[in-house]
Amino acid sequence: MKDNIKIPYFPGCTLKTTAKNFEISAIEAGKKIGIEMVELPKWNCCGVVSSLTSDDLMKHMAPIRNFVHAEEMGEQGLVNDKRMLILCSMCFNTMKSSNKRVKGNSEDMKSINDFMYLEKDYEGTVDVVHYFELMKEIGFDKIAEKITKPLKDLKIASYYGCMLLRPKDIAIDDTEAPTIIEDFVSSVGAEPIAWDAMSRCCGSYHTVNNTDIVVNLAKGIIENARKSGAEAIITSCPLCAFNLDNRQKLILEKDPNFKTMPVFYFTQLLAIALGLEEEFIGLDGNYIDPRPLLKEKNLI
Amino acid sequence: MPKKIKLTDNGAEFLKQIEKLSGETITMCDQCGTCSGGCPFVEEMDIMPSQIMRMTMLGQMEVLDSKTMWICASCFTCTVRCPRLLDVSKVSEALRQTKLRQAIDNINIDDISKEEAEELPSIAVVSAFRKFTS
Amino acid sequence: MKLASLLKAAKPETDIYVFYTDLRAFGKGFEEYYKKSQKMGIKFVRGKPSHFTENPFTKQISITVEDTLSRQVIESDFDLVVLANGMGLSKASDPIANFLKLAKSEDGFFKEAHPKYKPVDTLVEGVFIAGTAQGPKDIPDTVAQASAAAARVMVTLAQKEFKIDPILAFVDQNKCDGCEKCLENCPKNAIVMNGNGKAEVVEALCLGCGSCIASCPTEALDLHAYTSDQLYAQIDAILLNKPEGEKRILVFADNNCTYRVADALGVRKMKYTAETRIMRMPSSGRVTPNLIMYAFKKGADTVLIGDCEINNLPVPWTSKVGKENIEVAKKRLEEAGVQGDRIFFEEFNAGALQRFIDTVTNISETMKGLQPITSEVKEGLCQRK
Ligand code: SF4
Ligand code: SF4
Ligand code: SF4
Ligand code: SF4
Ligand code: SF4
Ligand code: SF4
Repeated sequence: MKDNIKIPYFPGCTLKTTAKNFEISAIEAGKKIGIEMVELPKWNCCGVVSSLTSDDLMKHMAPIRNFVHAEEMGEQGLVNDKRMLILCSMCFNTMKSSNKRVKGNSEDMKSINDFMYLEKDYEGTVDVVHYFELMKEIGFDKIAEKITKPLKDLKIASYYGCMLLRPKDIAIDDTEAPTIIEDFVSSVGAEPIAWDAMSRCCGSYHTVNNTDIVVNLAKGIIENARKSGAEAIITSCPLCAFNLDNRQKLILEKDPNFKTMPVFYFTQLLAIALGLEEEFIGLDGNYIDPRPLLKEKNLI
Repeated sequence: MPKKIKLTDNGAEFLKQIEKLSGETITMCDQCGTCSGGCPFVEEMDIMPSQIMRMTMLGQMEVLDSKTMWICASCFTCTVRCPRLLDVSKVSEALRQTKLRQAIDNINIDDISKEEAEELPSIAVVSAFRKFTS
Repeated sequence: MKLASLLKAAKPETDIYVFYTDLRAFGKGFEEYYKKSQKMGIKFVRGKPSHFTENPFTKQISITVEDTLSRQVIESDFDLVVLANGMGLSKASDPIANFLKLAKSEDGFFKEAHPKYKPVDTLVEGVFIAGTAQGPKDIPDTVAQASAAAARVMVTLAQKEFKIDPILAFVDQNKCDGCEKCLENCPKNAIVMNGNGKAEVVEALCLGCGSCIASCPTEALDLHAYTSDQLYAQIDAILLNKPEGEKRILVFADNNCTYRVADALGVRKMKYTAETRIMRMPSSGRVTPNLIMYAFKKGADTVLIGDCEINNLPVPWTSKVGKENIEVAKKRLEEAGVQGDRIFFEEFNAGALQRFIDTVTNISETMKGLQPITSEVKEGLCQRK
């Protein structure tokens, strides 16, 4: 295993806008655990959401174009790992399924390459990898050794959402009984709780014009977490985060008795446990203020 | 309300078209209901995901007027559980696309207020427009 | 259904629900059983549960399931959930299968020789199956099948003499030098060493597959009806008078499948490339490296070894040996400086007519790019004249 993984990194638009805290904590925490994230010099939208019809090849072009840039980085020796690292669950899902589709179909690959005649051809050498998978490769036990501030007594609900576990060929772990996030939670010294809603959808993009759906689902998920003993939820999806965190405002409007719960990006927990400065954790970006909880546990 | 339906050639054509677009062999559906039982959105829907499968199989084009396909968020819960390895999310997508390609969008950008637009993560807006427009 | 009605009879106050996808109580008297359960108040719900969760406090299990008949989703807590799993063959069957060399079908149960005509026979002579070893079934069916198997055993035991196929391996006692290399190359362990320190074939066990032949360094082993002399002579005849500029694909067709495919093609007057020449073999294991090399020497441009797709003994064994032989032949070709991939291997089932045509067509296509082997090189390929 390489000591230091230097890997092309695809941020996606949301990490550059509403989820800056996700990105900064991932980059800085990565440095401490041996992941050097090298942002693609050129990238475009991943093309979310993964297109599901059979005659929609063009919708796969956007993701594929990013892979071309990742291949170029490999050729120029800017990285020592030829895969592409992604943080956002939705980008991950979209890119991985497009990649899979064209890699498995040389005709599709050719049409897309022909269409992108201004770019180099995509050779199909890039694999998509999620931050969780990379940490698992490094070894959660190795990561545990680097922790300076174990998150003692913090009870965490690991929220997978849909995009990390489904469909089966995209999943980073078992679709019905995953453990990878729980393993991560243990590695930073916190306590993973067992709960039912770990992969129940948060309502996704319905948050734009059908907020009621999201409010109901998010409330159900948070209440399930609380019932199962959790004090906070972690996620790796800026959309899940928005739905679970920011939408608590609407939940409260509907139900004043609702008890709020902080929602973190998993990298924020990692950053805290590694003893990083507040500017690299970005707690200001969280809608439900997690600081009272963290203070109570003597973590800040 | 109970009603009588007719099985027509147009209906059979409709089924073929949806099967082609989705890549799923809808006639394989057992009507076991696993998809509906696990769907997190089922209470928001007017008909069950399994009913989408059934109506499409029988060529009932009214399925295109149902709310269900718009509610389905492609969360893939049904996809990973169907004992017949069918993918209802792909069928929903195919139905949505069928409707959208008739140039009927299901979202209006003016409905989203400016404050909302600033607050929402871009991923949500992009996704919604991908799903609700063609 | 049985468990449900027993429980209901013992504790009538329990509220029992049975979730099913499709339900029919087939078999004599079973429909009454179903009716009785309904009468007892057991509720049958048509729907496959999608989700089980445990309430952390009450430890009750909550189930989410669509009642597909009323088109509603039921989400409810139960004190006890009994899962009805599909039936499978126990792991303990593996050693038996290995010991008796029995085949299993795709569903994991022991395979019968023929589902309709030989339902209790296996492909291993003298071994019979009955009951859930062959597939899920109830008690009456099991008893019926077991009786049939017993009757088949009686037939075998009642015979005074056995007739066996004359296609058997034999050892030339003069040539055999007792090296024992052949012993482990027989799927039936049919070769033993006799008092003279020479190998001998137990004819009652031998399947006539020919897998042993290639393993003998002194060519002491041979197979009746497919002797090496006969096979070499066939190759001679097949490739005799090959006109200048033409090419030949020599197909070693296993008798079980590939030869039947070729036969059926002829009967149906289906066309395939005229470069093809077919030679019948007992199995792919009989195709020794020497035979392959001899074919090239006599003018074959490519060789196709057709094997059987089914997984009954001796096929898995013969194709293993066949593939090993091919590897040896490929090496020898390379060493002789023959370029190009000239040896092909393909598995057929007896119905794979079109695939056979496609296979030889493809080979014919690749052959276009191959240079003929020069006569000097040919000479060196095989010692046999
Ligand atoms: S998935 Fe969303 S966040 Fe990621 S690049 Fe695409 S649109 Fe942007
Ligand atoms: S935003 Fe919702 S739909 Fe998307 S991955 Fe997260 S849980 Fe699933
Ligand atoms: S789970 Fe599959 S087979 Fe069952 S009703 Fe849904 S689509 Fe049909
Ligand atoms: S993909 Fe659609 S139908 Fe299937 S479970 Fe998710 S929301 Fe329901
Ligand atoms: S390998 Fe085949 S031919 Fe040779 S002895 Fe064994 S069964 Fe008979
Ligand atoms: S391999 Fe040939 S020589 Fe050796 S024991 Fe067997 S028959 Fe005899």
